[in-house]
Amino acid sequence: MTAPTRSAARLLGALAVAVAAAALAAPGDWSPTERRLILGLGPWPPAPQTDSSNRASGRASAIELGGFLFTSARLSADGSMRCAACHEPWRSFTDGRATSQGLAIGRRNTLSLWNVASQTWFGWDGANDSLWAQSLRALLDRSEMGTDAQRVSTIVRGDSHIRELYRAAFGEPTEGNDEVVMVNVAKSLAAFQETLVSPRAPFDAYRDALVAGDLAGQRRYPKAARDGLAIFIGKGGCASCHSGALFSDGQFHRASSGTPSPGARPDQGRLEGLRALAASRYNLLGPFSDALNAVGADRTRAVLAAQPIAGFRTPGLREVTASAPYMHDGSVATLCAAIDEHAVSESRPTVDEAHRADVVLSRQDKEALVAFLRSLSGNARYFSESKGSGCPD
Amino acid sequence: MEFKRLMLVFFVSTLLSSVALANGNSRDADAAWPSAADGDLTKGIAAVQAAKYADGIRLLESYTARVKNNADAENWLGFAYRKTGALDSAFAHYDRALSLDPKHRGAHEYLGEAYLLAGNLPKAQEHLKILEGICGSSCLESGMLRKSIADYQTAHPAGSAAAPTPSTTQ
Repeated sequence: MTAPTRSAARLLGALAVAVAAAALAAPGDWSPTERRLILGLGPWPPAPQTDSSNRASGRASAIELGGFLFTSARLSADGSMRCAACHEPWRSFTDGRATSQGLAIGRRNTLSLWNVASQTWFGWDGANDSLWAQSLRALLDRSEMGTDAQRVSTIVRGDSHIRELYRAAFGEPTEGNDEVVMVNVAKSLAAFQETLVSPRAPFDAYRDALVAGDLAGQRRYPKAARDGLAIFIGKGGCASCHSGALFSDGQFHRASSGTPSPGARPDQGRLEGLRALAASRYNLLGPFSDALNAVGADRTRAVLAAQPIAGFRTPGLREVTASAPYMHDGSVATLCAAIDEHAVSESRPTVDEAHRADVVLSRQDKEALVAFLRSLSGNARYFSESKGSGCPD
Repeated sequence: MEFKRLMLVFFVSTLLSSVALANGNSRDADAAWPSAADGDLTKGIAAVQAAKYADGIRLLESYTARVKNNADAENWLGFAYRKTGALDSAFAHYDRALSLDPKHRGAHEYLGEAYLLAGNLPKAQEHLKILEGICGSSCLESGMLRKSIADYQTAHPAGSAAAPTPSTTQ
């Protein structure tokens, strides 16, 4: 080979490398709108925040008490049920059941507790405006723990270890103040739950690499997940409700599942939640809030005065892989089926009126979306299982 | 019997981790797994075996404060607490064991048995179902939990209220 020929070969080789590099750099090729949408799904984790309506929020002594009581079964009416029975730490703080089972079988799916501190309304129907009131509801609800103020107060005062933890957090649990003791227990449970922040996920690394212009970091994100992200923020329309770093707008939308069985009372979701919120003496307008004039109270006033809307709260999607089954009634077993519930697929040409009627997703689209949703899990086990989503044609 | 099974689980886990280390599979594994000679772990297990639960709990708490990802150690701690009647603490350590290893057979079995002590038959049955999904209906752990459930049902016929075992905290 002559010298000029060798030079030409070297040039061609360099060109080939450049072309390959450009192809690999494609992950960063988002339009300005797409880029803005992607960056809006982070950063993660969020800055720590405290709840001004809960004087125990962020306090180590209350977190310790709440963490202990979260695993205990003794607060429940018969001493058999504990918070962690439905919110199992090893199952993304859910229970794997279609509907919850406390002292009786409930009618809604157990929501994960990951990142619960970042929410505004609690439960599928938003019946509570604070995490401590939501915790109180679970303690009192007959189908969950079914307890009462007297029992809670008796346990707190009667057990030396719990009493010591309570005293460190709130002072002496005096007799005759059973309701105050119970509310403080709920506030300690809330303080503990505020610490449940889901780990960073592969998507977060990708987003941050995008912000930093780190092409090597972007390339580590699998193509299938990237394709799913494009659908998520694009034609799938998912990000219109599953928005922000929580992948939830925190608002209420009509859901397409939930056809009640014959004779069963239809679940009215938010409409029921608003009635319960208005009637509760534990809402942010009541005597137990530690911040009566704060933003949260104004928000509650405004919501109670506004025209009520139906629907269920948009759940967050972080760690969603581990929280099956899905939807408010737990009627959907897999991520792929949950996607089907939200969009028109080639095999299912109908869609709920609240969702985009022009969305048609192929099996490949749905598999890409599943790959993306799996990349929202900080647990490598779920991410590594991304082969074969099982989406039907 | 329970001691033997716990020891078996521990030795198998140690063996597997040794294999992982020998293969150089993970840098994290170096941090995750102590040497088998970790004093607090081995002495803690020995203390639990000798029914010296307070000593075992102290040593294993010291160990798990340093090593946050050993499901077997958490399971041993749960066992020790359960034996002292501290059901609340036992629950917490079984939860941690399963958070570290959702398919930990021993933790599923013992958590199911802890639920029986609390009077919660449905949750015990749920863990039996999970165990059967992991290792079938004939593995040691599912067999033991099935027997515990049967014993519980004999002692608490349907319709009779099951009084939960009083729990004391540490």
